[in-house]
Amino acid sequence: MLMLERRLLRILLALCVSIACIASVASAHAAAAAVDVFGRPVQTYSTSASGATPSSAPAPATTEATQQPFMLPEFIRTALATSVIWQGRLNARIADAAKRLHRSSTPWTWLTLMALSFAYGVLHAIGPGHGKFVAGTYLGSRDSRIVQAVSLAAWSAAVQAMSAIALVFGAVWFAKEGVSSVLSSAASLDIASYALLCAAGGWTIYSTLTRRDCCADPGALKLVPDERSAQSSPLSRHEPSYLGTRLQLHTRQSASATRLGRNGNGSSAMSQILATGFASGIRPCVGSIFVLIASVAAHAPWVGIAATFAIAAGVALTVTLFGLGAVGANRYIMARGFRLRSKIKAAQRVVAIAGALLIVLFGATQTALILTGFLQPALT
Amino acid sequence: MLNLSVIRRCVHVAALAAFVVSGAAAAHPHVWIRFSTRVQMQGTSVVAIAETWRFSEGFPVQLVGIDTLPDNGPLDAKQTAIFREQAFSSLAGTQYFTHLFADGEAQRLGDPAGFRVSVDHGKLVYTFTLPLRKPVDVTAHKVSLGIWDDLFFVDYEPDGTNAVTIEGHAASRCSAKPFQDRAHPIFNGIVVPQATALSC
Repeated sequence: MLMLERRLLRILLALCVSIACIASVASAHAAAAAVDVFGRPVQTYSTSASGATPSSAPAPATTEATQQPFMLPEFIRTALATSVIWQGRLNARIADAAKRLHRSSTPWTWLTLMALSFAYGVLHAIGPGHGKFVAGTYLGSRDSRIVQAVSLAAWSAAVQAMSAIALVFGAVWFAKEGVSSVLSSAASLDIASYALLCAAGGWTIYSTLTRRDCCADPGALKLVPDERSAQSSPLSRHEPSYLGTRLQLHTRQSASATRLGRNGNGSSAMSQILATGFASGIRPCVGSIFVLIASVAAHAPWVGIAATFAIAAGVALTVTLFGLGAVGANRYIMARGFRLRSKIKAAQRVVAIAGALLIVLFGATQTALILTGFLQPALT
Repeated sequence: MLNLSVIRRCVHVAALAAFVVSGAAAAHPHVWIRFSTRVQMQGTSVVAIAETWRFSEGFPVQLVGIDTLPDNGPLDAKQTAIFREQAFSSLAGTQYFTHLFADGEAQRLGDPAGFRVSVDHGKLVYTFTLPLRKPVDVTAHKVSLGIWDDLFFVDYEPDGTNAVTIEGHAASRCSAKPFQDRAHPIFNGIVVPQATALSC
């Protein structure tokens, strides 16, 4: 088994080397992370300062070329379309509320701004995005706890808010172009996010393979206690034990020990959550950037900062609900059938590694596509 | 437990899923625009499309490089030129999000004319006209018109129930009828844009 796990580590190492090679080879052809004021990638044929140049623009696609065979069911499309329309309305109202707050700072105007921003964040996170994919994959592929789902979503959203604040204020104070370059800078973080996802996924695989977290191994029989765990939690003289191993009389660990991870491996799970959340949240939300720019222009930066964190709280709520769904799905499958339970438990580590591998491959695919120019860095 | 075939299977499934999800990790709209369109016709042929885009208040004009706008009224030539350069010309490759189809074939549009920027009740408003390279006879083709961003960075909504009207010297029997354009879903099939069928 050790040999096989080494083989998996070799695959991971080979993947990392491949990414590094693609990055170095393709960097010369990499698409510039320049976006226009709409957040769309700037296309080379459309940057004419003198105006439109449709003659050099590509021919418009025909119906057949643009037709997509896949379409979501009507009720889902209706719900998402409604959320998009409401996002637009809320976005406009946030700008209004920020202006009012600048004129007269009352508890009611603050509350209005916070509520609108929070609602905007909730709706903004409903659509597809890599944050929910990463959170869902990570949480759904292991025996996660609710607090881990909340932590991952909250940390990811907090990073996203802080990233937006750092970008906007950095541009205002240091960039020659001022805020005009903010969206391009944010788009540049897109590729950084994907590269970091590779690293975070790699760390998750490594810590899972080296049994620092995640999964009980039902096939493993421990006759001698783990030296590290023995040092960290010395046996009490009154605690029943045999050959230094704690007997299974006290199956419930203290709440503090199990709050973030099972089997006393909370620090490893925490490090995975921190790495994964940081990687997926480093690319800021454009809604927050817009609010911050407007508030800085209105000489009320604190209003923008408060609204940004309120948006982050809304995003965190939606991503948490999504993550809880993944946790619930995992638990549902784990609870199916007593006879299958041992097999499912045995596969737990494989599923956890597959989940982390999926995150690595997702990050690697996006990184490679962006670096080779097949995909433009995007903002969400 | 962790045999080689399981590992291989994991890698294959994860790789496949990563590619599938790569396409689904799409962007959300950041800018919301309400549009109205006046289809310029000569008899039964469409010759140009005059458009008005009304931005939502949430769009920060500071991104364009302009600190302040007038409370109401048109922008001067200098500010209009800045908007044109920073927040309009870059859309040429998308034909300014204007999709005119004749029998399912996308029609090419000419250079925009009469680009103006104004502020109306605090909202930024663009007006411009896109002439057709070649007039399209509505009686000879099945013609539809829609405004949407294929990448969905910008959300376009019709400004009212009569957002698309027919103007010019159109035949009296010509009409514009809105419909959901299911042939051109965007945003990974999540959004079906609204279009208008033009007929005479």
